[in-house]
Order: sequence, then C-alpha cells, then structure tokens
Amino acid sequence: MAGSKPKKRKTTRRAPVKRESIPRLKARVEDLSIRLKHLANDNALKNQEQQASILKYFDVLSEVRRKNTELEELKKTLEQRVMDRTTLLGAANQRLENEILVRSHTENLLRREEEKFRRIFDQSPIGIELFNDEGLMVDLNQACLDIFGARKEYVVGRFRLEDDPQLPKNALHKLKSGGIVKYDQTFDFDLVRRKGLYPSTRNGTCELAVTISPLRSGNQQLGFLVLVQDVTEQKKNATERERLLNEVQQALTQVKALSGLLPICASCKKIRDDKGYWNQVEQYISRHTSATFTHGFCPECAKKKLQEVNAAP
Amino acid sequence: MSQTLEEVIRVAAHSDISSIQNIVSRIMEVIQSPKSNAIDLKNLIEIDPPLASRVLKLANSAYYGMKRRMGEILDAIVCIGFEAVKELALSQKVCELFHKDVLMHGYSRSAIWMHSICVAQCGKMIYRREFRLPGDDIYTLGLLHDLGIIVEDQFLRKEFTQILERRKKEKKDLIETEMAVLGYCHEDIARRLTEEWHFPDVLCKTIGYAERPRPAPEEYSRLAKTLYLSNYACRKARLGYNECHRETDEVYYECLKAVDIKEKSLSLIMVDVDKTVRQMQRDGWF
Repeated sequence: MAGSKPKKRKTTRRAPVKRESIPRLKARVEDLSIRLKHLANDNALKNQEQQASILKYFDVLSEVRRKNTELEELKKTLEQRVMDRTTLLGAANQRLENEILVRSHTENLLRREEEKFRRIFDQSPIGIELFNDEGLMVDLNQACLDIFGARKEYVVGRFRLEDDPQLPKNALHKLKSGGIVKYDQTFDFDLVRRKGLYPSTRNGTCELAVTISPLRSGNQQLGFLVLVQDVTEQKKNATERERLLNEVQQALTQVKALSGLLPICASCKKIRDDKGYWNQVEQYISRHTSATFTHGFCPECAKKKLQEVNAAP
Repeated sequence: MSQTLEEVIRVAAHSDISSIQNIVSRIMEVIQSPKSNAIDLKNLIEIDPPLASRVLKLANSAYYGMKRRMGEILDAIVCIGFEAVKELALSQKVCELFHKDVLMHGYSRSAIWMHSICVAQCGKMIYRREFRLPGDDIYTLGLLHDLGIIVEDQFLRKEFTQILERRKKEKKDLIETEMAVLGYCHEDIARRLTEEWHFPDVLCKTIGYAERPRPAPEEYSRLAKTLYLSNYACRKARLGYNECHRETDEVYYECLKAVDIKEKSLSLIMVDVDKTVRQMQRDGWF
C-alpha cells in the first residue's frame, strides 16, 4: 500500500571470523610442511620398496617358472624311468621268487634228510657217540645211554675221549693220524664210579665192541664217531657154542661108524677086516661100532632047529 | 660377590636366551643382503613353526588392514610386503625373550617389550621420514637395546632386585645404580652379548649407546643418536617401561642438532608412534 513505511529487512548476525594469530598460523604451516616432508620421504621409500618387492616377486615367479619347466621335463622322463624300473624290478622279483622256491625245496629236502639221519641216530640199536675235534662229547643216542646207564646231561659237554680208562694206549694217536680204532673191552662200571667219570645206573661189567673213526669234511677234521655195541650176550653165546663144539668133537671121536664095501663070505658070513682076517659078523660089528649083540632065533631057524631036536634020537 | 661381566655373558650365551640367536642372525643377514629374496625369508620363518604362526596371525590382523586372508608366509610377503614381513619376523622372534612377566618395583618384561617396540618404531620412522632411509638397523637396535635388562633379571636376580629397590629409593638413573651395584650396566651386557652372538658390527657397536650416545664411533654416530632420541622420546611419552630417569635435556638437544631433526618433527613422529602402538595393542602384539 502507498504511504506505508518500508519493512526493515531482518538480518542474521554472522559469527565473527576467528582470526588466528600469526605465530599460530606459522606453527601450523610448520607442522604441515614437516608432515608433507615426512609423507614425501615415506612415500618415496614405499615406492622404492614396492618396486623392489615387485622385482623380488618377479624373481620368485621366474624361479618358480623355471622350476616348473624342470619339473615338467622330469615328469616326462619319470614315467619312462618308472616303466623301466618296474620291468627290471619285475624280472628281479621273478628271479627272487625262483630262488625262494629252489631254496624252500632244498630246505625241505635237507630237513627230511636231517630227520632221517636223526631218526637213524636216535633209534639205532647200536650206541653212537659224537665227539668234536677236541675230543669232547657233543651228542650220544639213547642206545648208548642205555649201554652205559648214564644221563645225557652228565656226559655231553663233559666227557672226553681220553677220559675212557680202557681206551687202548695208542688209540688217540692212530685216530689223529686218520686211522680207525676197533677194540673189544670188558667195561667195568665200578671203575667208572670209582673214577667219578659220570653217575651210572649199571653195575658189574659188560662186554663192549667199540669202533672209533675220525669224521672229516675234506681236509678238515670235524670230530670223532664212536660206535658201541653191548656184546655181552654174544660173547656168552660164543663161549657156550665153543664149549658145545668141543663136546661134539669129543663125542665124534668116540663115534664108530661103518661105511664103504665090506668083504663077506657068501657061505659062513664071516667078514674080512682091514688086516685080512676073517671075523665073525658079531665080532666085526662089535669092534667097529658101539652096537652089541643079543642072540636069538628067527622063526624059520627056530622051526628048523625044533625039527632037528625032535628028530634026534 | 656379583659375577663379572664376562661370567654373566658366558652363562647367558649358553642359556635359553641364546635360542633366538640363530633365527635373529639369519633374519639380519636377509635384511642386509640385497640378493635375498622372498623364498629365503619364507624358508627362514618356516623353520620355526611357532614364529611362522605368530607372523601369519599378525599379518592377518587389522594392523595391516588386508582384506584378503593370508594362509602362507609367501602370501604375507606378497600382500603386506617383504619389508613388513621381515620386521614382523624379527620382532616376534625377539619377543620370545619377554614372555615371562613378573612385576617388580615397576619393572615387567612385557613393559620392556612394549618400550622396545616403541623405540624400534620411533627410530624407524625417524630414519624413513627424516633421512629417507629404510631404517632396518635402527629397528633391530630398538628391539634389542634393553636386552641387558633381561639378562640381569634372569641371571643376576638378587643384584637386579637390589638395583630396582635402590633406584626407586634414591631416585637415580638405572645405569648409575647398575654401575654402583655391579660395576657394569645393561648396555655393556647387551653389547657383549651381541658380540658373543656374532651379530653385525653395526649392531654390536651401537647397541651400547642407547642411554649414552656421546662416545659412539663417528661412523655409527647418527644411528646411536637416533637410538638415544627414540629411547628418550618414548620414555618421556611413558610408552612401556619407564625407569626413573633423570632428564638429560642437554644430550637430547645435542643429539637433535647432530642429526638435524627439529623437536617438532620428533613430536609429530611420536604422535604416529603412539597411534601405531595402540593399534598393535588392540591387535595383540603385547
């Protein structure tokens, strides 16, 4: 409307501008310039380090690439090498298997042979003793233990060849020269006991036939083999047999026997002896045999003699 | 009567403390050799399975901010970087010395470890941001500079307790109290032990100057002074173990001037060190 007073414009009061003091501004500028310098130096170093890191990283990458290439090359040859090795190993395995089979077979054979000989050794009725090359007993069989009435633990590893009190004098020398020693002995158990050689369950004596021979392998002396047989019964039988033989022989000398052609008279039946004399039959037979006579009549002669007696006046 | 320095070194050199020697030496070889590559570092870490698993665990932590999960050391090297993995491996191996944690007169091994990490990080940042150098040596020095205290704690228990009590009571420097009780200090122990372990010269000759940078040889002067500055700044910021320490500002400013660093620069660096250490704490480094 005309004539009205113009409106006063409302003005907002602005905050007064803070004026920093110059020293403070200078200090802030100094701070900023120091910070800028620090930032510049740090960044410069970081750039250098980053570049160096990148270079190092590329070095590593090149190294890795080179190693990978080498690895690839190696892989290519590896398969072939593996195949070659596998073939070789296969052949080696086959050879090994064959060897194992042969060995197994041989071992079985050896075991069977060993068992066989062990059975022979253990079950032999003849006593067998084994001594090593120093003359020390290393084994003996049951037959031997029975002969001597001994126990294994008292003789194996303890008894020596030379301990036998009845071993012939030059036996050892002969054995060491490779010879065989054979002898018979009357084994005295009481002597063994007295000498304290080993405990024995037997007493008295027995007759033994002993054979000792060296055991060799090529030129090497392995030990000694002793065979012992109890021949007491045989000896007894032999003695008895001899006695009987003597008796028979004696009897035989007394036995009179007739043999050959005897000249006899066709008429009187006298027999001519070696000296040319004619002997009565009874005489001749009694002289040459152990037979004797007892006289009688046969039926025909009895009938004839009776007729004669009856006919006599 | 306390053992002589040589006796202590002889005992420490044959103890479980020396178990870290082999791996740490080899990591340092990798660090120093320009020809070393990722495979060398990976093989080195993998021969120590507990170390490898700790390195992987921390490589996957939020500290490195990787989205991708790393299952192998080589992955970690590719993703977070060769330098980062080197540092991780070194710090985790040295960390094994600081496992036992006994609180005694303000001292604990975990506090020393935290302090060592902070000094290492600070030293590295100084080298990178001020000198534009990688800072591998200063990092290693930072981790190992208080090794001598671990040796005293383990092999001179009675004397160490006495030192801590006396230091607290008399409010003196740790080194001063050590010299009074033992006749030598933890820096002498660290120097002799690293020599015994045949660590690189640069390490042996500089490790003894964390508290006293002045007599360091000229060729290692920057390293020694940076170590001192890092040590001093971390103590001032109370990061980790903080033995009662007389402020030697004179030496501090001398070192700043010698290496041409402004105090402001160092304080800005310490802000980042603090942030980094907090992140590490959250990620289970301590």
